[in-house]
Amino acid sequence: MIRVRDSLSRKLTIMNLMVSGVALVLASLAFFAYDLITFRNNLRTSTSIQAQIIGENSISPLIFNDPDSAQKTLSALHTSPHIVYGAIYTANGTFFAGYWRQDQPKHPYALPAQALGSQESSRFAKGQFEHTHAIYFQGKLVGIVYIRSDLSALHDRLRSYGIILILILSASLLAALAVSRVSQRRVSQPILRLAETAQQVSREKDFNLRAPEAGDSDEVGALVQSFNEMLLEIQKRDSELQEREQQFRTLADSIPQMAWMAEPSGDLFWYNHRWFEYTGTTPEQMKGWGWQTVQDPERLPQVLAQWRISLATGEPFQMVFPLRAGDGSYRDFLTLALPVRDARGEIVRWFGTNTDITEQRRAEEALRRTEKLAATGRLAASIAHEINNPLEAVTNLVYLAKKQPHNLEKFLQLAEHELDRIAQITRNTLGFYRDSASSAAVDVSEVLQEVARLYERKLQFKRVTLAPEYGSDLTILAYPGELRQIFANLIANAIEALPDRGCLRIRASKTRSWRNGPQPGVRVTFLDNGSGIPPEIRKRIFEPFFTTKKDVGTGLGLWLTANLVEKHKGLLSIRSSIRPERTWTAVSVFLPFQPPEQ
Amino acid sequence: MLLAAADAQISKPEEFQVKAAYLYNFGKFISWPGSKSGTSFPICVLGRDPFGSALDTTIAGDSIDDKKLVVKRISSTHEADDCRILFVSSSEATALKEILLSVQKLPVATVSDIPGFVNQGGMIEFVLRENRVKFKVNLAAARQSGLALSSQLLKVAVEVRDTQGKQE
Repeated sequence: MIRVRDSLSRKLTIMNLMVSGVALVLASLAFFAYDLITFRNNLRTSTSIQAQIIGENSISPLIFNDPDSAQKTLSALHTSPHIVYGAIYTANGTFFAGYWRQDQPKHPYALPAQALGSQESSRFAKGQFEHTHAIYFQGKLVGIVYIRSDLSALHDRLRSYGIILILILSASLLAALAVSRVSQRRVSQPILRLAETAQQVSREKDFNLRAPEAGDSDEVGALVQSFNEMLLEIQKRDSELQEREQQFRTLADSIPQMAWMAEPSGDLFWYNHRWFEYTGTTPEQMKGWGWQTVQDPERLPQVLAQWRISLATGEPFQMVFPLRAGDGSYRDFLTLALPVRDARGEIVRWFGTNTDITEQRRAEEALRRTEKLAATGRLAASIAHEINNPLEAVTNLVYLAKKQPHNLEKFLQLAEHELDRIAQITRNTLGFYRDSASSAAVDVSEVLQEVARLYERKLQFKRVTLAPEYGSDLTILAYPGELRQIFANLIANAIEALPDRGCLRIRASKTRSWRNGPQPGVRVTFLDNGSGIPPEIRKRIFEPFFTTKKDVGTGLGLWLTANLVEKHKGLLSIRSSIRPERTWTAVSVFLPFQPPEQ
Repeated sequence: MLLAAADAQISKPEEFQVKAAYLYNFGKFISWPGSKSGTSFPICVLGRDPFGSALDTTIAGDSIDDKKLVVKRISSTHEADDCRILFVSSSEATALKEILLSVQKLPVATVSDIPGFVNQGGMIEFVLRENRVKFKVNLAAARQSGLALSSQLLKVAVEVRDTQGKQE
């Protein structure tokens, strides 16, 4: 809170008083000085006139030697109380007649030296004013008038001026104080009220308050208005913010996921309702790091470690882990958390969601099983098909052996050969489903040859040319059964797509993938010159239940293939061209040498 | 040079020296009618001259209204026509009445130290007061002769008469 230490109104008052005080003192001093000069000039002028009059009236007394008459003339000086001495001297400077103010000793003063030989002289000396005036009659000097005046009048005047000045000054300052009290109210009052309101607003955080309008259209009025507009704006934003907050909470509570927010330090400070509904906890229990209590204790260290990494690096958090429900059961949740950053890029909070993926996982599992069954069915059909041919041949050979006993040896040999083939097929088929549980070193080219052999008849039937190009040292660590399933699916798809007399190239080679850093592995590419896949289909081709062969397919083949490739940490990609006359499709599978431990 | 010391005992020669100066100075405070012309300013002494050389010395080289001052010693009022100031010596005291009568119509300022001069129709009469030379003035007599006496002069006179004939 801001405290007002020195009131604005006090400042204004002091300023007003200082201004008027200084102005008054300066004016008085100027007046003083002017009066002093005027007084001296007046004294000089009036004394000069008096001396002239006395001089004029002293001519005949001087000429006819009548000091009494001269003294009578001089006695008129008593009307000027500041004149202490007035005298007439003869032309040679001898005292002739004199006048003394009553308080003065009656002795003649010597004529000042400058009086002789000058028409008129005057000077201020020793607090007195001296004036001499030469009396001429018909061109001849007949005498000199000498007047001395004290400056008590001046002093009196100065004293009374001083008193008047003090009186005026105090009266004026009092008046100025009163006027300023009233007038500054017009300036300071709105500001004071504004300051008061501002303090109240900052103290009570109540943005409904308004500073009283000053009514003036000056800067203060504008300030008050702007301040009120700002308050209104803040209020508006406040309510907008509240509305948004409300919207956000409504949204957060309406989504099926659980949602939460955390401080940059990792303390969780908010959860949506669903969290409490699911976990059966209270907000108090969940404060800060309370969420650990609903974790699976076995997975908790892993979760904590990854959460701390995200907090430290600002990397989005993504992890699947189980959370305990209110009834004690666990369900799997995909947890995603993103940092929310401010304008400077600093993380201000984390926003996270937990999505229940238990059902999804179950559904996926079911799908996988379904497709496995379908694939088994398809395989059973193709095996039956494969076996049927040699069986027919054996049946025929047995029949021929009966009919032509002389060729028995030859027929039996042929039948044996056919039976070998059947045995071979049976072995392969058994291998298909036997060894999926654990990974083993598998030669990719061998698996490919085995699978291709399964489709030999289909290829012959469609008169498709198979062009294999297998490199050497293609042994990887993998689940052989799943590898067979991957290749079988891809070859079956290619054969489906190929026209009569088409060509299927299968290329397998050692390579490196750069997707996640350099990684050695094997790439197998199935290139057919079939009809190609349009882009809109290519986009959805890995979705479950997506199929273009509604009657025969489940739409799970490629989805499962992608699943299996992913299990091997491999990559599956499809490129295709549908340019007329140059249609082709290339399905590429990358499998790393070292599959993950799982 | 024109003034005597205020309190000094005045002697006869000194007294006439002062009177000579006064005679000369009277000329400065009196105005004559326009008919009075001439290029000089004669101060006449009727009868026995009591001044000796004092009057001549006083006026020597001086002039009033650009008119040269001259001393004219006369024995009869017949010679007084062009006089500006006429000093009647005490030697003429017995014939004073006739003298004044004969110059009554002339624009001449009459001065004398004969006691009672102003009472008998003279204009200015020298008197001694406290050992000082002072004078009395008969304003009416001056007016009758067409002369004007300056107020300055009247101010320093010990007595100013403004009536014809006897003293009040």
